[in-house]
Amino acid sequence: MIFIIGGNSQGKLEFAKGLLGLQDGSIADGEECSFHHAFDKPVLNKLHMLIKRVLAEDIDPMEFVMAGIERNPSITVICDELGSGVVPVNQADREIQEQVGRIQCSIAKKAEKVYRVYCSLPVLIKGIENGA
Amino acid sequence: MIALICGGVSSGKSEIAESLAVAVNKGKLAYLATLSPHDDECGKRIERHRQMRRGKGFETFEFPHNIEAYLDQLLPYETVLLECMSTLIANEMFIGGRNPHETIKAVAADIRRLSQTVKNVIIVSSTVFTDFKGYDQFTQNYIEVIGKINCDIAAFADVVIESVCSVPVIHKGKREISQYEDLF
Repeated sequence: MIFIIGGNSQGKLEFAKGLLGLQDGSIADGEECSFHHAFDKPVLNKLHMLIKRVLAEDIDPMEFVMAGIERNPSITVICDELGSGVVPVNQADREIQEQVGRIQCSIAKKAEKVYRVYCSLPVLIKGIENGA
Repeated sequence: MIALICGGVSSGKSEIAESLAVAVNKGKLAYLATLSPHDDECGKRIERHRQMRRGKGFETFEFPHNIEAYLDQLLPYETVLLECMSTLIANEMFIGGRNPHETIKAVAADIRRLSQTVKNVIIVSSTVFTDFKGYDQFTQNYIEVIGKINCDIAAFADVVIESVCSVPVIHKGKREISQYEDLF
């Protein structure tokens, strides 16, 4: 599994497409994909939006996401980093921020490679570039 | 060793800080907690951290602010893990009633005294610098104080690590960290 994180609008999806040589049809969009098929495609984009939607349905997002990755262990997951602002005043926002952070930690521990994309530049923070 | 461990909310920074504190420590370990359980949500967070620390040998002290007044209690310890700097700053400003300038001065002095009192000081702090929610002046001051104190600590720390979804990104002190095999 490859995990790609970074701030909003940093070029994560473009990097993933280039890295994997993918077309648009191979990418699930966490903002609108069905929960059932979220992890079926080679790439899941916008994991943070999927977590937000799952939370709104009262489903445990950690269990949901980790089970999805278990079913498709070669998936590439893309997620926005959300945790580097002041803790939100709104409780629901705090919940999303915390859940996204914890799930990111769990995914990063399982991933062979973790890339952080910064101003379109991919920085490999875990794993070896040409290794497993 | 003086080490600064930064990261966003729920980024795994505590776990990294605890592993580092345990690895460098050869004497007694103290955990300096700055968060008070003022509601259920904080209570749960504190409990989660207690569970994480269990069995690692930390003795817990609660000094929500004004650390200087308690330094004598830390003399027998070799390693102190302070968690979290952003809460300490909030307490100094909002409970202690210090203005931003006084807060920066007081906290910087406290951290220096702490590092003269014990051999290893591991400080957990927050990164709160990459969003824009149109904060009021009060919050903006708070963000700036955290930024200035993080910079001040990073300048005299041996090691600066950023936790990015639990992956330690070492910004300073790669050589010091490399002494501890299998740390991360």
